Amino acid sequence: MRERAQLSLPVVEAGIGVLFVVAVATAFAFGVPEVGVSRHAQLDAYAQDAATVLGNEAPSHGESTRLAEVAASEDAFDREADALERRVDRILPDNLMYRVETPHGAVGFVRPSNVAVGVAHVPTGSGRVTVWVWYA
Amino acid sequence: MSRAQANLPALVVALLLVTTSVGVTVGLAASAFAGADADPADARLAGSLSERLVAADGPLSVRANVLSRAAVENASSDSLPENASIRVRLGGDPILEQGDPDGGATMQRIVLVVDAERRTFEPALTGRDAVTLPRRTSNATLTIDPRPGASVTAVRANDRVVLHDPGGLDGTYDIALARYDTVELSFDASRDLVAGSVTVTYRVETTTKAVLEVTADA
Amino acid sequence: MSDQQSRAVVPSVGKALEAGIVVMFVALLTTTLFGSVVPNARTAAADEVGERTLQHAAASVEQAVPPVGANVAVERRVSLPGTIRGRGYRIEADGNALVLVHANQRVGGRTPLSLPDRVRSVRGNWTGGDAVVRVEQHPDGGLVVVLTEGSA
Repeated sequence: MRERAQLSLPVVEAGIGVLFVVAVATAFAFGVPEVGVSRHAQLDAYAQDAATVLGNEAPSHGESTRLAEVAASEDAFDREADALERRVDRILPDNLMYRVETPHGAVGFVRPSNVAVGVAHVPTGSGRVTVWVWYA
Repeated sequence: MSRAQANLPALVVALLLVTTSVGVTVGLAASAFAGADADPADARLAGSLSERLVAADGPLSVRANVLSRAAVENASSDSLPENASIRVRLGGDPILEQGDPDGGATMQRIVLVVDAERRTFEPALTGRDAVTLPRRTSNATLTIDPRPGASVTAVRANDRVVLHDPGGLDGTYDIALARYDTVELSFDASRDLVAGSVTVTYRVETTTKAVLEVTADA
Repeated sequence: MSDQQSRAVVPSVGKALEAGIVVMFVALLTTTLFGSVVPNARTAAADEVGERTLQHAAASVEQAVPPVGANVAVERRVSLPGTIRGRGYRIEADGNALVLVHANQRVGGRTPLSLPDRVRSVRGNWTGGDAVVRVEQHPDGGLVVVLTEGSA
């Protein structure tokens, strides 16, 4: 009979037990919810505000609002796109990036897919205009 | 073969290990719970209040997302719900305060602030008996005081008749105009009008952009 | 053979002792956990659920009011949990606030509502499950918000 060091069974059992308990503990370690106003809610509010302000502006030519004018036709879009971009840039705070999409084209930056984005829609006579904003 | 007894201390050590890990887990759970205690009341109240202030029928609004400077300067806390600490700031300056809401949630909205000013002028009315208003406005007040012998029978705004009296207009009249168009007022009169026959008062709005911040601590 | 005689206890008794200790340990741990840790955690969680339910109810009521100019009667379903901590609860309208009433003292609360001036009053209550908020025109002008059950 040789003397063999043998792993005592209770320690192995206890080791497995500790592993189970630690596995449960890690469930608490991740995923803390946001405190205060969530980023999504704030971004959606910004987008809605920008859409409302743009949607109620007096136009430079024509009869309805500025946004309806831009969305009316492709020619109108080509003509007014720069002015629209400048106007959106002035309305929104500096730490936001934006994209405004009309049925005939879009102005603004490319929408990222990995950050929180707020969205708002404006119905106009010739289609729906969508505004996205996100933190830069 | 003395393992049977040596196992007892090993067992005790093992049980102590398990107890410690259970204790650590309960502690971790408690701290995670404390971290997740978000107090949703503040965020909800801040959001609802900001929505209400920005709406077209809000206590400070002229239209949706447009506030009037006069209403902002006379803002009172009557429109705020009780039992809550609320602060409303416009462009960084507090306009409404109730209690002390530091530590609550803040919601920001983008608004335009309208500064209304009334301007009066007397058009020269040479030649065509018509005048173009230099700014777009939503309403105007005309004071018509023709010299004896001349009578003004109608006033048109961009070819739409807004005032009409075959017996002759004389006095002060309010007319409504379309906010989106530049307006030309033309007068139908029995003979040429001279300067001073008509005084036009109209409202001019200057709009500035501002950020409305609502901080609430319910 | 002297080895066997220098052992204090026979192996089977040693094993029985081990088993007994382990059983006692498990019993002790279970009692401690279910006696104090678990009920406290459940009540704390119920407190949080109650508060979030109340805030969700308040937000639903506020969002149900239609914007100016839309002369419509609104009826909206609000999704509320059936029970909190295994027992029923009630959300009542009290003046300009919503109150959550629950059998457990720690669960409950009161939150102010921010409604436009067109709304004359809020009345009614919900008792978990199928909750509906209805916004109607009052005959003398203005709107009335009613919390009721329904299968809208």
